[in-house]
Amino acid sequence: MGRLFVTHLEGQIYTCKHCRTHLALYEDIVSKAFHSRHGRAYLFSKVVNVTTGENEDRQMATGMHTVADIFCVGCGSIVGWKYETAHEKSQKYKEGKSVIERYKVSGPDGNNNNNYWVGNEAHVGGSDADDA
Amino acid sequence: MRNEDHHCSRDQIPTSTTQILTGHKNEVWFVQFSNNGEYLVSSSNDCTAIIWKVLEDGKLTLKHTLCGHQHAVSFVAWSPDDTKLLTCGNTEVLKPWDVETGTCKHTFGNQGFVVSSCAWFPNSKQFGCGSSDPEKGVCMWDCDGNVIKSWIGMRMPKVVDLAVTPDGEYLISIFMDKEIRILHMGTSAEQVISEEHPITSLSVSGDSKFFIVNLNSQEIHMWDVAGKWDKPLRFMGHKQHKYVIRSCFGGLNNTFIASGCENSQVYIWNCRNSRPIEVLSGHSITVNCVSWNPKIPQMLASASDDYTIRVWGPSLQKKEG
Repeated sequence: MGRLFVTHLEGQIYTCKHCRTHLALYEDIVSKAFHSRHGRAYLFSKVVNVTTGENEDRQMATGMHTVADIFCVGCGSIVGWKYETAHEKSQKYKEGKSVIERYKVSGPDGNNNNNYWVGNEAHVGGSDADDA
Repeated sequence: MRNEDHHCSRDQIPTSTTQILTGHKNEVWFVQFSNNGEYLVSSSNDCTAIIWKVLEDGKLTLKHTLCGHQHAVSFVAWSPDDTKLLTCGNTEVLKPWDVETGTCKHTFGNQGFVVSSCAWFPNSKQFGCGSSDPEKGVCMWDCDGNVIKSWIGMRMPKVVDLAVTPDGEYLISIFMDKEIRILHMGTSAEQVISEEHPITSLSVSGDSKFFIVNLNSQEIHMWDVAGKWDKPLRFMGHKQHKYVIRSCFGGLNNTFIASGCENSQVYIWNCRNSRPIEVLSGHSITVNCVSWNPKIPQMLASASDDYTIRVWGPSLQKKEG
């Protein structure tokens, strides 16, 4: 754990719920209607201060995708996943974008979801179900 | 001819560990030789800095441990005359120290001015420091705590790193928005260079003509201070993604660049080639910073998260005859 280089954002910021590292901006939200097995999630066009895990193929509600989990650079907790490749043409707009789960962040729209187990890091694999 | 040149220069390149310094109790984040090459300063996540003396035989010995910071000491700056040191707490305060006695007289900065970087001016009596608060910008102070000059402007981006060229002509600032600003001290003329990736650190050459920046896209870029280059020279091969990694000029005729790395190695490039000519192993985890002795081109020091500083010199076994 050396001296982290952390990017600071300005404006309406989403921060890691555990360590408050800046992760994304409200203005970079593409969709608020994504879901994972833990609940609702955001799709962001851009995120910062995350490290990326290994690419893996995952069957989502909308088809097969190649994704990589993303982890907060500050505390190492998993915060979502990044779409590397969407295998179906209608899902191509997701490529290069990242999903962050709502219960992992504090943000400007004041999510107060306390019903989820914060300690539960057994992330078997996310899935999505966006606007039909 | 080139191979012969390379072979000759390789005998002068530090490739082997000659000493391991174990004075720190936590990750070592910064290391720098004094301008006269007689001392090395290191600073650490243990909230201290240590001044080491370089002995005649090239070994280093502990001279002073500087205590007083409440946070990790992330940056240290030697005054040009090597009589004083500035230590920078990580988003904390700035302390000037007397090198001979190891004592500190003032503390600069408070909750309203959180220092992120600092640099001396050639007179060794004034220094500039940057703030991580965008309202504060860059200030020039004297050693008694008086603000001499400010470049505050309107909502300057957060300052990441700062340097004054050894000739005192330029103040170079690195900003969080990936911009490099080169300010001419005499005329206040300013040039701006934009990078595409976040810049984690800055280092200026001894002749004041060039500077290098580490990017977290795993590249080091060299620019000219005069601002005439359209594109930088690029150096790559090392690993940098999460941490502040620092590099430096050095070696014979100052024609080499060395850098720390997130995979525990030290990388050395010849300025004429974008690929490393040496990769040094020995540390067990991230190497945060390296420094080349300005007077002994074969001596390099590296600072690591393994709590140690390694001093490197040429490998004796490789010499022929």
